[in-house]
Amino acid sequence: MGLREAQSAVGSATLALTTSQDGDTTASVAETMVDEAGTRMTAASKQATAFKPTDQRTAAQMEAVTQALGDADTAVRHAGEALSGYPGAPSVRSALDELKQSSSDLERLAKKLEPPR
Amino acid sequence: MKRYFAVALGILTAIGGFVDIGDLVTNAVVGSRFGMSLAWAVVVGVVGICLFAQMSGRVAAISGRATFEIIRERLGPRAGTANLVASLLITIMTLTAEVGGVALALQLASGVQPLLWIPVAAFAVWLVIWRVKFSIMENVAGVLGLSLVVFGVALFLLGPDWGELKDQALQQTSHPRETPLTYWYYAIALFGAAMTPYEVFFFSSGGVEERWTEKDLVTSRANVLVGFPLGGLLSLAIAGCAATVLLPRGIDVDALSQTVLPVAMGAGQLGLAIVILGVVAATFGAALETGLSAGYALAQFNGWSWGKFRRPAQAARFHLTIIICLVVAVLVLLTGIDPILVTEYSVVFSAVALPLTYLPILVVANDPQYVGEHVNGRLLNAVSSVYLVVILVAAVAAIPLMILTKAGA
Repeated sequence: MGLREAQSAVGSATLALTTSQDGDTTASVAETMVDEAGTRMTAASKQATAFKPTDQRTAAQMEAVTQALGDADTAVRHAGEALSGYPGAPSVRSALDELKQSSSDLERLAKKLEPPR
Repeated sequence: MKRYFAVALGILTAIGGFVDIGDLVTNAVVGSRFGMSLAWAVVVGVVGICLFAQMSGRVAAISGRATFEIIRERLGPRAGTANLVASLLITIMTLTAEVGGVALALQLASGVQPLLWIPVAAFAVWLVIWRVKFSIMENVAGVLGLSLVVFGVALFLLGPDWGELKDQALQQTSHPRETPLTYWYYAIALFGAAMTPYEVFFFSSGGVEERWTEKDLVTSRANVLVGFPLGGLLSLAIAGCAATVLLPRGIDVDALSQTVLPVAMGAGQLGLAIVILGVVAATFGAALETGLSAGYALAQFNGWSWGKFRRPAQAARFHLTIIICLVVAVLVLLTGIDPILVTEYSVVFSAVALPLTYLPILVVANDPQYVGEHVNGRLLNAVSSVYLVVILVAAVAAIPLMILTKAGA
């Protein structure tokens, strides 16, 4: 349902932001990574949308997944804005917090929903 | 002294030239998803390419003829044409992936979108093939590709749990998040990445370009038997970096930036600069080799005049083939297709097409009419025959596994 892709995208954006903050990577590499994470989030959302729930239980699960993916998408977008550093953009620290929150939400949801692949 | 220098340079070039976009991407993908549990597939692939290149290099040095001249002669026009079409398609696919790889690496260096770099990269490939001497082209790309040694340095600097990496390599089990089918699919992908057919077309045609004779057999063997295994170690270092940094964080590699990031974490911005240089050199070098290999295959098969040792006007159809293949690669990439996806498919299809070229070379390497007294020995034949079975199994299993796993998704 796109959860794995979303977890990977959030992890990738987190790593890009952390290494950029530590001065290990250049701005162009970090920005490229966050852009790619954004593209991956779009793919994950598409995958989730394609999933058609057959009963009320799966419909409720889908709602939770859609909510988590939406939050993750926002977190990745904020990471991109934090890296660009334009006035009014979120700080790197708050973007990182948001990514970490999103990552743990996705992990919790994945444990609840997905059988081991 | 000059001879030792030639051997050393050949080995360095073989190490630097071993890794291309297929190795970079596949090893990183596998490291991020399976840890080191597929290290054995790299070893199997490296031994295979050593056997294959050693035989085709010997055939080229003794008979003075390259792979596709022999394929047509041994298989006849009909079976030979089927072989040519399959090999050419895989080579063009690989060329597309390499040009895309150059563009992605330049994006990492500059921040400029890869779509803008694609025509620039392809033009540079054509210009070098057109203007630069074969030995300079091969050696410069190979030696600059040695920058990828930074993957090994970064792995040490990252300070991984070596015991855990060793356990992963020895346990050879699928990671809990993966299925056995994806495990085997990626085993074939790694095998295909190490044993890409174009490497053999290039190696044997290069032998003819450089006018190898019986005297050059030692140099050729040293290049293959020392250079390729050391290149294989680079592949393992790429997987090791991904297994150390990306696997514990649940990050699946599907972009080049993720492949190089562990180097930045281990070796900082200097390491990052070196690895980007290495990726540009490795993919650019491989784009030169694949572009030339496409020209070699078609020209040799049709009996056209070929080679960089001739002036372009004397090998017009050979150079025209290269230009057309480059244009096709650019047009495919400009559709916006992900070069990483092209790479993933190209390594698997390489495994599918491998028997088509491996078998004729194995037959000819045993034919005294071509290689005189330098036919395969018993041990070499035994190992090569085992590999023929491995190659056939991989070729037959590749497509069904691709379908069943949705290309390893």
